[in-house]
Amino acid sequence: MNYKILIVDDSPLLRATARRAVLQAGVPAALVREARNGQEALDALATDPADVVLLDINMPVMDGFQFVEHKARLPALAKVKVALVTTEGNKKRLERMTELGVTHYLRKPFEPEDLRTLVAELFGAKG
Amino acid sequence: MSTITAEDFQQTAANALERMAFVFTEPAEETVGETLAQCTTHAKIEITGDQHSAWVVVSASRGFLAEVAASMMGVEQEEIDVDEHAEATVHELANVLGGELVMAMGGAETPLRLSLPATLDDTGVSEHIDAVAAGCGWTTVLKADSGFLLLACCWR
Repeated sequence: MNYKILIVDDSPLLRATARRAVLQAGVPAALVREARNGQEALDALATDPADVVLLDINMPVMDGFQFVEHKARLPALAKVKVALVTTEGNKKRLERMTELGVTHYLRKPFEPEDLRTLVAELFGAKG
Repeated sequence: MSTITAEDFQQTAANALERMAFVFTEPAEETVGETLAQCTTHAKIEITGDQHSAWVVVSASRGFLAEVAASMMGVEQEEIDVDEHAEATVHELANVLGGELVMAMGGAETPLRLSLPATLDDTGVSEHIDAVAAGCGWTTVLKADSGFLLLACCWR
């Protein structure tokens, strides 16, 4: 599965968990990158767009909501799929994210298998 | 907003820990003071809304943090450098348990927001425990094979 994945979470623990799930789904390690907040994610995508972004919401510097709003204004990133992996559960805020192009959502706490399933669904959606 | 009891949240927290890290807990018989003496790393997360606000303080022992971190990273506990991962682990516990409290307080319809987790030192956590003792909320202690997790919650 030669998809480029960007994991965006301020928690190194969650980045490690997500990286493991992505690697177990068959993505080569060289295609998996990490960012600690929305700004770092935008910077990373500006130099090399990803196919899929796994995005936390509650982060310093630029949170996940702000990242999605910025991304929606950038035509070059229109094809980048975004999946929220977050403690956020507010219906209105999640609906707003869907309006801005977020296609998948996994609420923390999740089991590792849930994340592997999410990644598999995203690859299916990309295919 | 729903009123969340310590007993309710004990079960919610136990379920969350099982999901996120396969850590199985049960209510501990140890007192808050006995538990706090074993806890090494502490974090606080705040919940704010138009009408209500709350905070949760999470304190954990080294063994508990090692078990959670190892499970989430998919390695053996012996491979975990607790000093390196303790703060990130207790922050993620605060983040997840804070999120669970938000959902328990108001569910998907209530626009409560979570802050970023912040580290507390021993003095800071004691001050928060004192605030709870003064009547603003509750404390509860969970025990796993690896160690202890202390939760303190206060709202207004």
